[in-house]
Amino acid sequence: MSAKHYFLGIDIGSTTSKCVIVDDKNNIVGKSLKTGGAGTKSPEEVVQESLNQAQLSSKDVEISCATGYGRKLINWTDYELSELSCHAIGGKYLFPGVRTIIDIGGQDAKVLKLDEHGSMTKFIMNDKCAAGTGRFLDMMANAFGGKSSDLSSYDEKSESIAQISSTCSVFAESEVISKLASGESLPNIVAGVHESVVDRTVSLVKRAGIVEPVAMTGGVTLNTSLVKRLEKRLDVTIHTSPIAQYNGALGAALYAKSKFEE
Amino acid sequence: MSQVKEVVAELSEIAQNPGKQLDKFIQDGKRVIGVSPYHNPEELVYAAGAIPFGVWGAVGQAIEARQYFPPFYCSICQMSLEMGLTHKLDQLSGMMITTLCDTLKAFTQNWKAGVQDVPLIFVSQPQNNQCEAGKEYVLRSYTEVKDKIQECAHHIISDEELRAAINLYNEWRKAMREFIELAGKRPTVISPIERAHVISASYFMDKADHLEKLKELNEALSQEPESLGDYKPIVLSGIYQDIPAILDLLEEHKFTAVADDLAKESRNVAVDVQDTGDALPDLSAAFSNVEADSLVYDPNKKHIDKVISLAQDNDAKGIVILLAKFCDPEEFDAPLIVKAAQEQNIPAVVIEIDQSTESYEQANTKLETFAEILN
Ligand code: SF4
Repeated sequence: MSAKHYFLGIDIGSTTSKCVIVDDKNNIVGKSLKTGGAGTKSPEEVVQESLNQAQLSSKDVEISCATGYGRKLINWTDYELSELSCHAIGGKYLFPGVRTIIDIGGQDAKVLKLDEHGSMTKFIMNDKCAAGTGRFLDMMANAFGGKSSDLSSYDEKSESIAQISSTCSVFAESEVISKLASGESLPNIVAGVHESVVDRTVSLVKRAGIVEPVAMTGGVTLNTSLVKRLEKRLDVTIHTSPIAQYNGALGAALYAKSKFEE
Repeated sequence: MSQVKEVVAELSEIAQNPGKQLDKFIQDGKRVIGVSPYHNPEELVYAAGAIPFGVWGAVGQAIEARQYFPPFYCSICQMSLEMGLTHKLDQLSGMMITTLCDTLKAFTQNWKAGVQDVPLIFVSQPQNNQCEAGKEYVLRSYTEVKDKIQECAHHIISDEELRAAINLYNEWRKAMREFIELAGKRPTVISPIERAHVISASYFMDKADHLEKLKELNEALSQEPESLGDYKPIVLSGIYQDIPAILDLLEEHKFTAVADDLAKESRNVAVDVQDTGDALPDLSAAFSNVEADSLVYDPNKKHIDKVISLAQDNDAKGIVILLAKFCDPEEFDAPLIVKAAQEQNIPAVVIEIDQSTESYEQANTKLETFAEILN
């Protein structure tokens, strides 16, 4: 390949939109993430921002692929692929040799099993409720007037774990409020919230069966305290990446590239 | 081809408008008796000159039924009771309900307590259906069922009438098995949704009429070569699939059931009634021959092996388990099927289904991903 070619992947989730542009050497030349998923302006904006970053125009994009729950709402991409397949492709690239990928997104959690060649052989998704997902953490942070990005640092200060027993987000929210009212420290409550997400994730991972190496993707990977708790409970090292949040979009871009190579 | 389309259009219309069918039977002066799942001896109804009418719930929300059932009961029973309580089934002369799972057992009593206008025909069946005591129990039970049907249908059933009904049903079951085999391997001629509608329609038709239609379809389909097109051959396992959103998803992701293990489809037509003399003992013996089914006692878990063999014998690329929400018998078997499939390197996926679910976004993602794995 002499002239450069560019491939765009867009992942329109329930709470965020992400876009990644790769060149024909798999270098990420542009990427963008915005809150606001399906039905907002964010999908358009992340595409424009990624193009700007890469100093490209939409005409320079050879092939594009959309993924994520909101992908049906746009019709300009050349391909679409389910988010699980995109996560498998992205995960294989970010974490070569990975066999288990845990992805905790805005409103779902999933575990993907890959074979030695990086092909997805099995996947498990959470039940149809927000417990154990990013949305659950947002709601819990809201309950004490904080942001989910603050949760990790609160947990670092915890001395013990306040038990959050409700698996239903709505009940858990009132449990958090009543624990606060009864004088429990915020860090301990956050530790309890994290443990409840870990509980859910552990059962999901165990249902899929864990094979190392294990990687984690999705916005929740930014919460390092939670990742540490999960590592401890699963007794494995969990690989993460600073761009793990872009994994779905990256997988879509790489899929677009593979279509070009075909 | 055009003959297939014509028959299918007629049956699809019936499958989607059971209420109209019920009205039609009543206008024609027929007595109609409701028939719940599973393995109900509906030949008795037919022999009594009445029309057996399938009652397997309906898509919608249970409101009145919640007075009787807690929320964690399956939607087939919830929605069937809902229809009874909201007077949608008042035209029935009786309602046969079996007892093969705990939910159905509770359903019998809730029907009796809540639906005053339609008498319950209690069809007690032992899960332990193959031992001598079980066999004897079914015969006694069916004797009582026969009495109750005679009362509801205002007709005394002769042995000849019962034998004639059994013969018709045997012929119909054979035609259904043929249809299922032919249609699954020709999704480009008859789509998976149309296949499902043809089967669903049988629950709301006089079996003699449905048999006529099946014969026409089978004749036309057998002239066509097998052709999968871009459909992926799978085995469908579970209780039922005829929820419009589920049928649409299976079609959208291009799955065709080259064989099925659905209680409402193949399992319902798996066992014929033998002719060894007296009709009623023969009918009850047929229930004792039900096996490899999540609904009867299956100590060696033949059901699991059967699903795997169905996949292997029909070159299916995968198994889709449509797990009815809150269904104990199926929930026990589903993980075993998944494990056995894994051991044989057959991809399998479990999709939870329910007549009261409004959004199938997660099922969509799962089926889409599964389709990508199979490709
Ligand atoms: S077998 Fe399952 S779906 Fe059928 S009536 Fe019983 S609980 Fe409901």
